[in-house]
Amino acid sequence: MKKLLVLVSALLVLAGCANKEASPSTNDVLITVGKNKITQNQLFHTMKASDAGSLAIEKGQNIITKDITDEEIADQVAELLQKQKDDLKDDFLDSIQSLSFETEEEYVEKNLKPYVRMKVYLEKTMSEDYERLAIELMPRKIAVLEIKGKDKADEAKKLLSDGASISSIAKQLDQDVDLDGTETLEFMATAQLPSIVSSFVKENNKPITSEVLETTEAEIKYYIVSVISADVVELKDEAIELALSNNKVTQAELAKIYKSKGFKIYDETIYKALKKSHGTYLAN
Amino acid sequence: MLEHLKKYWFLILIVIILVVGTITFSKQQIDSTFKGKKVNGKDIVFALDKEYVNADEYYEGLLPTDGGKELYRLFERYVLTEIETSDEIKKQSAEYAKNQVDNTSAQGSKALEELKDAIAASGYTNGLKDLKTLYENQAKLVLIEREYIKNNKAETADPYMEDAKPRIVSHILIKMADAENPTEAESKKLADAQAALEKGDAFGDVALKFSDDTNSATQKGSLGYIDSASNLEEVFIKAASEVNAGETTEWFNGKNGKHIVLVEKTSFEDLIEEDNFVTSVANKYQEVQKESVLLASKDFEITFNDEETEKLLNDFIKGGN
Repeated sequence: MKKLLVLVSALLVLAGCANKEASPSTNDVLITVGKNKITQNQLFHTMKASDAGSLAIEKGQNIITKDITDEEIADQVAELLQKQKDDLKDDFLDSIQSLSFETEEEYVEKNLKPYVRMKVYLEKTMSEDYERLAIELMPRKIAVLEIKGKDKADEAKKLLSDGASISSIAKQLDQDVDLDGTETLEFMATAQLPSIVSSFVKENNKPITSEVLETTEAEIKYYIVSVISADVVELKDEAIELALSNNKVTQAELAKIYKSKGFKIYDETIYKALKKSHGTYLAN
Repeated sequence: MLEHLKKYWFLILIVIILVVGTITFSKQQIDSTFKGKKVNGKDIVFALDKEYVNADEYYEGLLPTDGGKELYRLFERYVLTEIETSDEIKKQSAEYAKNQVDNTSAQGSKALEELKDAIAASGYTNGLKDLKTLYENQAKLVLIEREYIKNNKAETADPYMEDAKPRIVSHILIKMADAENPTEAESKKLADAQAALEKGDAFGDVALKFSDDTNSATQKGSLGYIDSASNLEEVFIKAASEVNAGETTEWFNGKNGKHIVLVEKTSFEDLIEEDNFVTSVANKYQEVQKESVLLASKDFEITFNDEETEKLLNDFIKGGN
């Protein structure tokens, strides 16, 4: 019975010890206000609470991209900097100072370079892992034309049977619609398209143009869909470029990278904050 | 052995349940949360790609972005703590803290955790125990801000009063489903209230008798402090801002019916006694808070560990980032 009690107590102590706040190795008094002392530990604790784990993500990014050299990214950094200067003109300096960067050099070192490094790293990993990415995202080059009303749909059917292309049909129908027959690359896994359009694209892995498709809703809608390319290898460069500009995709890829590299937090405050904001990044 | 088992089977069962339960609970606790880690005697904050970032590196990383702001927050806290706390503030803060903990507890453990996080983010690291101190310090902050505003009226209160039209008001609401087309009963109630006002009955008495705003009616129609940022209908704020102290508006249509507003006070001497006015001015002009704390700190002995820390704090106070 005594042994059992010892076992139970030890387990409870172990469980209780699991929580931990990391602290700096020194705990100097920074300021004395009357009888009260402000210590390094106190400052560390409030800074952690306020920062909510952003620094861990930022420092993590530096670790992940540490092998990408300045030379590798020099052109892209210069190009991006010039673009921002052209866009902001006289407001450029005020703008970077509002982000707490005192000089252009500091902004480039602490903001632009890490950003471009991560972009280059993501581009590399997406390229190396493109087979998986293509299966997950289903990139397809398509053109979709929305047709307003039955009369226009009948006109489109005739033009289609005469062998007209989707772009010439769009031109002849001359409508003001969002889906106007322009060629675009879409990730079918995430694209916000009418279900009848999505289904047609997903069912056809070769270049093909549909008949006039009619929805079964009370208010019938008409579409012509053209699958221009379903060859994911041919679409690789464009698909990666699109993926890099898609926040949802890049966030999911970043989460995979952090997790696969064993991103573990050993501080309770930061752990709780990141669990809320970047839960998918964590390996613990 | 078998006899022992037969005799103590219930006790044995309880012990087994206890041990299994404890093991499961402990395993869950250990698995579900992170564990602290030390490498070369230093606390580790995170690990990634076989690299460790320790608390010293993390501290240095946080200083440039959060250091000044958070150091000021702690400095403010301790300057306020040093200021003597009146019995009234002590009593009121204890009451506020108790009510908040009770109300938050009633909302569940998640709400309680969020309250603890909010207290920690304000620079108070002892959780719920610090809530009373936090309330006391907030009350003392208002006291020193009030003095600062009095001494710097031209730069703070005057422009605020010009822009935001702060005032103390009371109102009467005659509730109507459609204020444009009142029913007979609604019109009669409105006419009766108006007749009472015309007869010379006190506004507060008429509010007590006729107003359908149950919250303010019992307070003789008093809404207290309002300004252009108050969470009230735009039409209400506009009407109230267009009359002087001691005057009433015409009846006007709001979402809930017809209102009439009495503007009671608009003078600086009256408004400066209102905590809401002081807080509103301090929110608008951020130097009010920092300068008030800095002035108050001069009554106490302040020692900085090094020049760097002093510069970090002063840069924040001057710069405001």
